[in-house]
Amino acid sequence: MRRRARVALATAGGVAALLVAIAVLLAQSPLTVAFTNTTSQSEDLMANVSQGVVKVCQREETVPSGITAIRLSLDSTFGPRVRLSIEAGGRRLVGATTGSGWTSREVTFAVRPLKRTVFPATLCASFHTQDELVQLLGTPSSSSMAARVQGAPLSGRVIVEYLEPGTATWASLASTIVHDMGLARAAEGAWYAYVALALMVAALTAALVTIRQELS
Amino acid sequence: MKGVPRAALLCALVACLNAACWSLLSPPFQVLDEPDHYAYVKQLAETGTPPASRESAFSPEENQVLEAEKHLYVRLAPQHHTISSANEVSQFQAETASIAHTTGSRSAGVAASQPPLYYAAEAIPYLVAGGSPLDRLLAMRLVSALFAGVTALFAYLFLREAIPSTRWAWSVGGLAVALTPLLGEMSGAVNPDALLFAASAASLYLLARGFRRGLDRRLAVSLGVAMAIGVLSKLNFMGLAPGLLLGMAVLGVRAARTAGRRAYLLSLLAATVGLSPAMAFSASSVLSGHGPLGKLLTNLSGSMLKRLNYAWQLYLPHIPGTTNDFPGLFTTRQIWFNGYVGLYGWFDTRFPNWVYDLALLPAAAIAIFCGREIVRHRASLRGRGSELAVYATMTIGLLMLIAAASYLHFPEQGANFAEPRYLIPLVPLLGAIVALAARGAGRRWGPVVGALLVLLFVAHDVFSQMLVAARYYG
Repeated sequence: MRRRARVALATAGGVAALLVAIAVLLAQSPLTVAFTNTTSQSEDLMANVSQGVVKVCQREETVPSGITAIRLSLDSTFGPRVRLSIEAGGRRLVGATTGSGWTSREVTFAVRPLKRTVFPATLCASFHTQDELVQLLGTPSSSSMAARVQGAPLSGRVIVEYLEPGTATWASLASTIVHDMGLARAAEGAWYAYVALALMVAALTAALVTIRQELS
Repeated sequence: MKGVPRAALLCALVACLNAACWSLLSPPFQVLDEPDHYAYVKQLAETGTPPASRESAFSPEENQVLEAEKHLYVRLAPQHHTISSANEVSQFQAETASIAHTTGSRSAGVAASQPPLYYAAEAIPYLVAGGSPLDRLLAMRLVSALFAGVTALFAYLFLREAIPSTRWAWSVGGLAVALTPLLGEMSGAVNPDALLFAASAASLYLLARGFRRGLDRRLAVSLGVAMAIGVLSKLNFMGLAPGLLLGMAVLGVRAARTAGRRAYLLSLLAATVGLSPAMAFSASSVLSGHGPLGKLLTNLSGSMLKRLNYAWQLYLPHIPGTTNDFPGLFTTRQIWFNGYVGLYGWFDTRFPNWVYDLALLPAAAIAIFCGREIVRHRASLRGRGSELAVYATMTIGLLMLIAAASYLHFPEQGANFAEPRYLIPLVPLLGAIVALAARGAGRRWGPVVGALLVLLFVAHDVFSQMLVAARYYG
């Protein structure tokens, strides 16, 4: 097979694989929040920890059935490995670990779905930090309901979100994404998404033209 | 544009289009430090003077827009999306219906210590666009996207000089650079990194040209100008400066063999042009002890051994017997590799963990093919030892600058400036690695692998954009 034909075939195969991967992705459903232990839109700093082994626990948690991930509001530049456990009635229901190196204001754990909703449950997260600052974020609560670090109560509860696979696929959410992308912008409108898509298609076309002219 | 290959222009076009796409995709002010950089441009454009304070107390009109956009609520919290509901929209419209204009912005946060060249360039679209801060921001972002094209253009030209024998490989490397998501994201935002990347790519191209064709007066002046632009666009360029100066010196020595001692004057000319406009700014920064360079020299604590140990571990696994500054963290993989693969917005937009594992496969393949090509051509590479040493010095200089800046905040923050975007000034070298990897597949399959590598970068870019869209608007 001549070089031109080989390159054309590889390019066509690569583009086809990319389109299939995009289609598969669009058929997936994003995780949605099944339940959260707060109704507040704001997060307050509950505690700063930067040394030693830390275990933060809070009781009276409701763990819905069918959830596949749990999100905690912790903040760090490069967070440590975190272990999560949930117990109820003296039995451990959930055990999960997330690796170190997470960033920003949340850390997510993949968990096995429970068959039925559990209440009350005690949720604990433990980690070891040498110097890196880890912030616990949450909402104020009474001392009796507050999260506890090494047994001592904080000023509130750490925000926990329980996630489940949504029913809507990414493809069905496309119109929402197109709409929202154009909000709170200069010259608001859905044109943002369409022009962004056109620019990317043009970039891809220019790249394919270059491949055809230079590599074939 | 006479003499510039058509393929180089196509690479530049791809980079511009890609960065423009990123500029529409990223929500206003939701790219790293964008509010600070916007404030700097506002101050410079409206008063003609740089900002005086590093506080994040922006102008009332910028604050008004940031609050209306729920900036702090969305930033760093991937569970929070941008404005979506009808209620939020009407609240946004009410809050931004009458924005009281105030002149300048005395504070510009982290941007305040940076040199003014990029901001001066961005003052033009800022003033031309007029209107609300959002109108101005969009215009500034689109102008910034043009710098991505300049970066890709010079990356292609660098490859033409560095790997002269394989024409098709230049396009593979050039397109890989053009489609690098981090280049698109940062150049599609208001951030001096855009000009820094372009100046760095130009410097690498000019050095490569000098090593291949020799140093003449025109090249010496061009090198000096590229260096001056780099230093005046962002202080990070100082990390590349030792390697650049070494390159100028080596080129001078080589030229002196044929042209006599007068060739040393060309090196001196390049260094003088490069350093003179930057000297005043850098010297005032160092001498005052207030600017970041001054801080680096005066505030670094601990012994030299401790600092070197930290710098080593910031990039590579810790050596047994030394203090582990990053326990439980494999910095090479978790900070740099994963960060390059996908960490967008305010470091709050990540792929699922399996994507980073999957990315190891193509990365390993690229490393193997590239390594194979280097081994195959080791004899000819020996003759280019001084050139490679110059690129290595530039790389090490930049790595050390990032490590020193991070060490200032250690141990409270283990790796404060460990951001993969800071390595993008070296993106032409990434282009060279990709081009060599394609060539390493052999004469028969090289172009095929090259085409597939370009599509790999396309896929990386497209999925990164989808990730960002899902995070903010999904």
